[in-house]
Amino acid sequence: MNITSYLIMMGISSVVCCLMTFFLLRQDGIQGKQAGLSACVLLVLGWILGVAGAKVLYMLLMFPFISGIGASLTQIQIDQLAYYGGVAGVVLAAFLASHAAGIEARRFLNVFAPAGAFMAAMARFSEYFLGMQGVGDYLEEGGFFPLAIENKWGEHYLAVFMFAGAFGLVAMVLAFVHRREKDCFVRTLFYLGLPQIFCESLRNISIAWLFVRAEQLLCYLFVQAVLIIWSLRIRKTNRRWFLPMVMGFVVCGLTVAEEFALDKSDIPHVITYACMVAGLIVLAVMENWSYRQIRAAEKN
Amino acid sequence: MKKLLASCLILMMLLSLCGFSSAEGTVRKLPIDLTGGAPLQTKFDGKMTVYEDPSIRVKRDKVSGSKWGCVYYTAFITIADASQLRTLPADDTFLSRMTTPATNMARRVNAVMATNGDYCTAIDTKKATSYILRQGVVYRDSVQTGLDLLMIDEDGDFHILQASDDLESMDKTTIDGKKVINAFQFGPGLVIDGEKVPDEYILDYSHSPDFAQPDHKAQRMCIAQIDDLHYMVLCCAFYGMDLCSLRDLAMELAPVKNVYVLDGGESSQFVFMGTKLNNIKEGKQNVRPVTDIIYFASAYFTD
Repeated sequence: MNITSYLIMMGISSVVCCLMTFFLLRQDGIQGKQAGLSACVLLVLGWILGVAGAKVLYMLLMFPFISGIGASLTQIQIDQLAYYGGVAGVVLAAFLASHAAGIEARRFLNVFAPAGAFMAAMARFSEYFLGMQGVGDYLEEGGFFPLAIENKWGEHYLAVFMFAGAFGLVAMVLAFVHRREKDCFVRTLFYLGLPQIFCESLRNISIAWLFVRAEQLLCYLFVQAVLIIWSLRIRKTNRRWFLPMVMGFVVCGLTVAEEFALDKSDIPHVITYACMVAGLIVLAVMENWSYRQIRAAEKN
Repeated sequence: MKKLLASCLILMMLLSLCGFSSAEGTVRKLPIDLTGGAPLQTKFDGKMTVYEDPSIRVKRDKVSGSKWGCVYYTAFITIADASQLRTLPADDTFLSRMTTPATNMARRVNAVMATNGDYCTAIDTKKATSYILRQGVVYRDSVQTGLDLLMIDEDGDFHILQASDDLESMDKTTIDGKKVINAFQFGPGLVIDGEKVPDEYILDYSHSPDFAQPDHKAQRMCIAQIDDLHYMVLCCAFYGMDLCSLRDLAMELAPVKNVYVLDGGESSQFVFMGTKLNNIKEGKQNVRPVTDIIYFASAYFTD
């Protein structure tokens, strides 16, 4: 584990994220002073609330087991932070930064979406410096970077943090392309969370209550919440309005079955993960379809 | 007669430990840390049932079609020194939740015989505070109420303390004046000091981790001490057996002094010379990675 390198990479990424936010705000017509102030507030609060959010969520998820783990709220330990708590903290920081600069929160968050997705991706890539924290299963056949990393015993493990980071970059591109949409921020979070259902399943070390991976569950809950909201928004204009949320529940059931199969069955992992990815692609299609219906209805 | 032979073997091993060396190599006490044992003298060819060198003898077996209704695997181990009974985590510390197949860990440390440990960093309501003392270091100084504690002292002797004992306040780093090298909280103990633990105690769910279901048929893994530096590892395969049957089987196989249950189910991994032997099916199969192993290593160095 190389904490210094990790912190340096996170530090540089956060500065780049805030610069991106500044330029995107300027491009969106926000005055330089307002954009500069919000970017500075975002940088400071992003660090404070990001770390605090990661710690608080970790403590909440591990609450019944705190005494055994020896975790305390005031002690920052890299393996006692929850990634999605960090995401929530940064989102809160962005919200407060918009208020501090007097920019409408929704507008600010939509403009911030690509920069936020960039930061989310870089936070994942930075796990390279955290030893085995971001890796997946042992690869018997070996592998090479960036798909796998080798530990000191010459064993190869799947580099899950690289996949998670790459998905974050995809979300960043999508957010940039759709940054003028009024739900850009929520949709970006959706496309950040959706592939993480798969990535969390791949991870070797995760916050898991025995066989339930807590952050995978949180990602699914967020994705399903978006699908339900989108479904409800098109219910008056489309006869098949229920499809996205129903598919969300179906894919949830399948994911549970797939997690069970990964642990208990002899079905090759590749097949099980392929099924999981297929289910998540269906959810992405459902979200995109329902959102297009929403926009079409709004235009009419 | 058997006892006499075993005593002679142990005596010979001890003499060799005290500085006697054969023409090819020497037997040395292993350090109490996370390093491994001496390199194996031969490679596993799939048919080997015995591994033997001047410091260790492991005889493994697979029994099917018995009255017990499931296939089971045994390994009888005799070592020259207690330091050859060791433990290893998947990562650098026993507090990491990192997991890897037991075979990986076994290969890292040249284990002659290895089994999964007690899933020491499990996060569940009846395991998260379990006591962790490994290779002489206390990693977690809390006790999981309800679960029995297995302590292995510096002489390699097993001591099983039941949950009813005052585990929380007692000194768990020494026992009977001897230093504890490894301690586990899974259990329950099935045989303690040669006495059969009653069915009611074993089948009481409060004495097993949440997922162990003592009265159900399941794959099981247990470790037993037969005599000084003489041990048995017993593993039963799918569909397995309940814990009382496991106890009875262990007692039938050997005059065991202490028997203690380790993590079971899909985590059961019976690894001989770096190869997992239990529940091997045709074609490729998925192996559940585990957090830690208990292993027996050679102390015979030829360099």
